[in-house]
Amino acid sequence: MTQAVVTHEAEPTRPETLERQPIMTGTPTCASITEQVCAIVERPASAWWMPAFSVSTLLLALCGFAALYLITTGVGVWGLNSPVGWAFDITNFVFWVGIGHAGTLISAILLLFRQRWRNSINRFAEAMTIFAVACAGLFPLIHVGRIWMVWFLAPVPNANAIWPNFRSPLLWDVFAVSTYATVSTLFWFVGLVPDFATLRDRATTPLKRWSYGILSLGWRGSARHWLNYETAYLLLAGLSTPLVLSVHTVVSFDFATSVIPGWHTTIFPPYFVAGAIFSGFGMVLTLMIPARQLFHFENLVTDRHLDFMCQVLMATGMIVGYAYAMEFFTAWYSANPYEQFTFINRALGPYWWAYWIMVSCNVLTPQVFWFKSLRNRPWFIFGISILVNVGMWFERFVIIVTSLHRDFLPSSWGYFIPTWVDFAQFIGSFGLFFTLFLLFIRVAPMITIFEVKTLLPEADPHSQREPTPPVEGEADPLPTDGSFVPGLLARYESASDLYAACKKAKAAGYKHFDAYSPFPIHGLEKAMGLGKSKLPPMVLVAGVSGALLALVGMLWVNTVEYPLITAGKPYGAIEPLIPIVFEVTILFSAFAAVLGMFALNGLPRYHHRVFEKEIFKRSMDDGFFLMLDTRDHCFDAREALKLMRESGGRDVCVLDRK
Amino acid sequence: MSKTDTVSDVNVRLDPAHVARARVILGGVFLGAAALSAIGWLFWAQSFYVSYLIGFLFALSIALGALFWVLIHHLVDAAWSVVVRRPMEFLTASLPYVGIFFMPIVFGMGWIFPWAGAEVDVATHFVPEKRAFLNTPFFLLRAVFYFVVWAYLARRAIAPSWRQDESGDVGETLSLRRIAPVGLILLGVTSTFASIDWIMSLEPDWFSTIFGVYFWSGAIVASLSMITLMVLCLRQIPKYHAIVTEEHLHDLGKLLFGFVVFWAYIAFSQYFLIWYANIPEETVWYIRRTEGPWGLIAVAVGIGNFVVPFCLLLRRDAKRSVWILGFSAAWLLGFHWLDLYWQIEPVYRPEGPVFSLLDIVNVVLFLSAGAWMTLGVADGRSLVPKQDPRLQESLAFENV
Repeated sequence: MTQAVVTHEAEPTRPETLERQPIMTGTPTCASITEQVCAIVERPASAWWMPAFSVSTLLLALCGFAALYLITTGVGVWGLNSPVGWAFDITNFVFWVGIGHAGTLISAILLLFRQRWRNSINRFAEAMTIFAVACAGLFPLIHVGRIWMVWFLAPVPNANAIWPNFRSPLLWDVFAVSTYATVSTLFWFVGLVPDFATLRDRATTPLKRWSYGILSLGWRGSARHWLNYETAYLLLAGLSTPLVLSVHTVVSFDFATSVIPGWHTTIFPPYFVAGAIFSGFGMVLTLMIPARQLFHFENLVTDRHLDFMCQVLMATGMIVGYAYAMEFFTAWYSANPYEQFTFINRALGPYWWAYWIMVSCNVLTPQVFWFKSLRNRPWFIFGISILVNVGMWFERFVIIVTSLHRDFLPSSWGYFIPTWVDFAQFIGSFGLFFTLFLLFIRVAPMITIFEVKTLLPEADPHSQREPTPPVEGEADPLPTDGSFVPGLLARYESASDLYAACKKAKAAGYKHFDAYSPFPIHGLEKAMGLGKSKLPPMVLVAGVSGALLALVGMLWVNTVEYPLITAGKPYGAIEPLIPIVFEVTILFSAFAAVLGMFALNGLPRYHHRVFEKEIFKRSMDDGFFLMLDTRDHCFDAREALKLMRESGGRDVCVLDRK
Repeated sequence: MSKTDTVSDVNVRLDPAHVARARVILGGVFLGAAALSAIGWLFWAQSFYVSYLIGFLFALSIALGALFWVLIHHLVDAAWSVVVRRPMEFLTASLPYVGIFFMPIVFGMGWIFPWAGAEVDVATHFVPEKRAFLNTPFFLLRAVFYFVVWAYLARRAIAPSWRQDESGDVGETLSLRRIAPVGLILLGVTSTFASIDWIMSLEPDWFSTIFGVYFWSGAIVASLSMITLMVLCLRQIPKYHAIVTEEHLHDLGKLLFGFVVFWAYIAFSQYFLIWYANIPEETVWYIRRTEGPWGLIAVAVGIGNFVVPFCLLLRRDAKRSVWILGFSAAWLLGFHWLDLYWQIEPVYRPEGPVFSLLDIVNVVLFLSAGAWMTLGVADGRSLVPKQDPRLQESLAFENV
């Protein structure tokens, strides 16, 4: 079948398909992108927003009510019971964690693979990650039953001087999911800082200016900032990539370390990760297709983006299909009657319908995307993405419930039927998700403004052949009385002009000068002679410290402080410590990357003299600025003014003392 | 500033005289190794067959990995890797001939595969129940199927690229892009079952669902190491040196680093889940390979394939350094062999590894044969896909 599809596609040999298509359509500029994205936040909410928000909060209230009922009554109000001790709760947990994975894939892994189209969807997907992880965390939290004792999970001895079991996959989950939530939030926040600065500069009310001012930490788009910023961002991407794999791997360990047929199988880790990305991309499409229509940013998130996402959906769907097939084959090949029964029972037993929903939604449905023409129809893709969401929820249900409901002894067989509380909490979790999402699109730009700007052709400092000519007849900004001039600030029309001006300034002997731009300009740090960021060694030291702390700490607890045999594992076994050691390493490194970046940049900072210039409000919009000042001994106001004017600088103004 | 201006001459070939001389030497080495191998077969048949199988899988994984790299390059429409694609294609070109090298394994089936021997039902527990899969005719049929698929895919994945050198037809790129997804699916399925047939079934009672992925992850690292080494050697040619810059090496280094981590992830997942669940029918495989003298080899496999290359390649400068990158690639090739040795040899020598000259002879045999074929393919061909529509982009490539 696939062969036929492929030939069908081949027939028209169009050389134009080899041309790189632009990632965005239309002719966006820096200013138009700022305007388009910020307007969504700044304008009053659309008519549909309030009703949607009300419905979401109602669902959230339902979820809260069900949780309250459960906590005050007991976990028995759910339908789960022996032998099905895990059902909707863990299904929903894995479902939501999985959805989160696409956000990190888009923000981190696609960044490492230089898939620049990700720039216009990563903010959206990262927000989805954080909210999905919040929904996921809800279920294990409720499932512990006595929620006031949840602090027993923390790595400290509890009220009875008992330590948590570091060899338990459930504790690894606590570390993995909380690390993931923390690092994703850091990553998201780091991405938001420059965009908050843009909103700050555009703010019309003091409250907005003040709040966005606090959130942007005094960001001013300096080339020195961007240098550390880009290094930190890359390091975070490098850290998040193994992190995202580890999270669903650890989730899969919840099942695969057991001895239950259907749960214990070695392919679970990569299979769960692929499934997570698959489901996450399904959810990104589900949210993105209506959003881009409602907010009219089809020029930034184009049909081409949808095409790519459909291809990822198809690829990951097939990896999941591979895992389904290998499980079946190996169950037969193992010659183990329990394994064989489990899989036959999945397909033909009491839950056969769940199994076939899963297979048809996850493996068969995405195959439609072999047809290029179907990858171009937003609402068709939307429909498929819904099916993927359904299929992936059922995948977790099938794995969890069908493996449990037939125990080893037929006398212990059972059948799980959900109660209204199960349903209320499942549906209510969507309420939490959409409440957070709808709030997010009101307060933060849902498209990364500065990263989208780097996709513009003019973002390349070599794009402009001829420098913009110097302006004639601008008034002399220097004081006529010959008083002291602490520094000068000039605005440039383009990244190319700023780049050329920086080269000139460097050649004239300036070292401490600074350049400001609304996005990082490739190669500017070299043109300015800035050298490399000092961040990587800091992150390495932090990572190694985290690893040693976790390893030594847990070994000490397991062998000296609280030696306890669990599951026949030796006291000093290293293997079961690896998941937590890994998570702590990543957590420490990520904090070092973010805090180190802000520290190296001297942020947060309340005030800077460039902010006093009205013209500098354009610095995070479409303005490019050069600052020369007396920190360089070669600074001479007259000469500096000449250099700025000659290199195309305009709106030159005199800076105050620090 | 723009590098495209400086690299105008992409017409690079190997010197035919050098190739001819090298091929004569390689042919001699191959014949010598074959003769030694044949002596080994006469006197120590069991040792011969096992070391031959390891050598075969070592070479095969490099060729299959190369096919993977070619296909993935076209699938994702990569640009940076155009200038380093030829080494991948040269390695892939030997795939149609691997079937010939499988012949000795067919003859030695009774020696190699416990389930194909005479006293099998006594020696193992579950083989009778697996007879539908583990039987000689079906095994051979599957092998033939794999070889046919690989030969077909190799052809489809490289022939258009050769033709494009002459014609410059972008339609060839489109045809490569069409075969890529189908090819990767076929490659994934066939190599999974090949690894089950040729490695996992050596212990017919044992099973692991991730085994196919474990095999690929090693194959992908090994072939990328070989490709990197080939690129570094070709950079001795000044023209090629100007085309393939540090930027391209940096990317090869990044991929190598990434897949080293991927291998570790898969290897750890398999080990860890079996270790943790502690079910005897599964742990037996690891107990045989982690206790006694084999335990030292197990540690060496882990450190050699993960810890050392991870530390070596972590830094940015290391990935751009010819010496560190080259050393890591050569090191990884060696430890990929050790990984295969550690998976296969304990079946026959449970008491511990024994140094055998035949192991080395068989590696030399396959490497010389592979090099001989690869040079034969490379001879007279451009070392850069000179008419590829993404070539300019690849030449101008710079890491951000």
